[in-house]
Amino acid sequence: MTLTISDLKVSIGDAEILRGVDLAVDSGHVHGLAGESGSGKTITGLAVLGLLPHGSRAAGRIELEGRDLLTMPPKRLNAVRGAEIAMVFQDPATSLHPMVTVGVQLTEHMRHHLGIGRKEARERAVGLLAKVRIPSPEAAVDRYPHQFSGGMRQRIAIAVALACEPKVLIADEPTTALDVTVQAGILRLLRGLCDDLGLAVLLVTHDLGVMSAVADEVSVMKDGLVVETGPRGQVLTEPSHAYTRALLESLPGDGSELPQEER
Amino acid sequence: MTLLTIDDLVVEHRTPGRPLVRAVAGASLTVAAGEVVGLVGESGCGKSTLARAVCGLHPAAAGTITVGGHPVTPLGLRSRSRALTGAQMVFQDPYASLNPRRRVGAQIADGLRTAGDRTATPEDLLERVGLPREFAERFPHEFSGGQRQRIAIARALAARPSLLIGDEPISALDASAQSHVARLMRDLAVESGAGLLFISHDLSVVRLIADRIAVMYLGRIVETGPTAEVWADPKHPYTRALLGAIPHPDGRGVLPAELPGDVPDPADPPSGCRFHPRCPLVMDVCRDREPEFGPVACWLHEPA
Repeated sequence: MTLTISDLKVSIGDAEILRGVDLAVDSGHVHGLAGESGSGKTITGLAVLGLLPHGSRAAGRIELEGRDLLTMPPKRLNAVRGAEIAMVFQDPATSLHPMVTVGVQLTEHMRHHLGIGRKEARERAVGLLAKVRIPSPEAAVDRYPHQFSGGMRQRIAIAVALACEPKVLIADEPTTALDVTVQAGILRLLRGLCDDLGLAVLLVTHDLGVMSAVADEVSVMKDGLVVETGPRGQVLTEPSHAYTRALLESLPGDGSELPQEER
Repeated sequence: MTLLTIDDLVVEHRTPGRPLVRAVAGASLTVAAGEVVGLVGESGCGKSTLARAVCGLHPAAAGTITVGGHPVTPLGLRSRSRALTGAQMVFQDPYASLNPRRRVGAQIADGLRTAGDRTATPEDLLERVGLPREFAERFPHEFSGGQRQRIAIARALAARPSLLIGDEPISALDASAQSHVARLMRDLAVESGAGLLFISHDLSVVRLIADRIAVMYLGRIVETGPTAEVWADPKHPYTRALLGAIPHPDGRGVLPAELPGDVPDPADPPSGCRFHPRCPLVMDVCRDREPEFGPVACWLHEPA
């Protein structure tokens, strides 16, 4: 397993946010993390990156290829974060810096982590933009985020995350802010990158449809605990936990008939 | 009874130094009393501009909008006639649409004053949207997004609207609050006999609450019909692409179909049918002539 989280507990003040989360993501796999807001999905993702809010305490283990990230000294963690583990956030309008060109946002951490020169970094940036299918990547590196549509911005954010060839990609609701047609493109891109680059992807989403489309394994969280984990087909069609069933039943159906009785 | 009639509406945005953008380019739509119409389409298709034009926030460059038989005039400095205050809007972002420096109760009272309602109190309206009465004394910053949107709905309802318009009212909310707020809007509108024009890019929510669905693409309505019918048998290739892009939670790992290309620049729309550069079923006629008929504006579905 590339990333293994075991018995992760996080509390902020007196509130227990995570109460013993176990999760494992293998390379070349997309692990979907579902649950409603407040169940601890996002905090789990942030804990992996060591980005928990101030004043929070974490216990347990988060292992990246055998190294425990929770006890790692800050300096070493800084070398891991952004290089070996990268994150894609929900809203590309706020996760990209509005006043810095795409090229600078793509090369800054590359030069820091990989120690490469300005010119080489720029060449890699163009390659990355082509990989996430941004039209005319040579011109795109000199543009600002506002010159792109929402879907293109999210592609750029994914390119930023991929710049240092991470082993683990954490995507927190990466398509929630996008139109369904654009979402379809991003999901295909994520799945393709995972397969081609052997990334271990932790996909946090409340959308079970998205989960069903790209995830290999699915975990369902409730009140800071993982209540069910298993292969996608099993969890989504034969859920064993009552909460997963409730979550599936709350959906507006599979697209074949209108749930009149719910009105 | 038809409450809102939009006939061949054109709305243009002018920016100095930029080409003229026809955000709404000849759209026609009706909403009846007690009816919920869901307007869907990708971002940038003009659905919000259409909603704002209905409230008089954008002037119509051509075409007409009538609410309850009265033509809608652009909003000016004078107070509106009672006939036009019947159209009330719930905006997208409840963090921006409520005044941060006024108490919630006072903002809802504005709506009551508009309607000349001396019997109801802001507290009654808070109760109708499912919030405690004592919230009237608080300020907007004390509430979550879902609560704020409920307050915005209460303020709109206070003006006793005959037509309620929701311009992406749920897209700024948390996933768990989205369907609650959408259902609340539907229930309150239908209960009071008002029509609801519900604009959203979230098709699954629209499907849940709308009686009729209108699909918009690049400034025009390309398909309308009863929600169940459109869902079961989408006719326009764009509607098909839109519905086909929704991933289903069936556990089979099917990646949703991608619609190639981007929405074209509305300042420079393609010739003929606006959808033809992205359409998988494009024919010669589509490149030359725009299909100007309904309910499905597509040459494959030309009425006989």
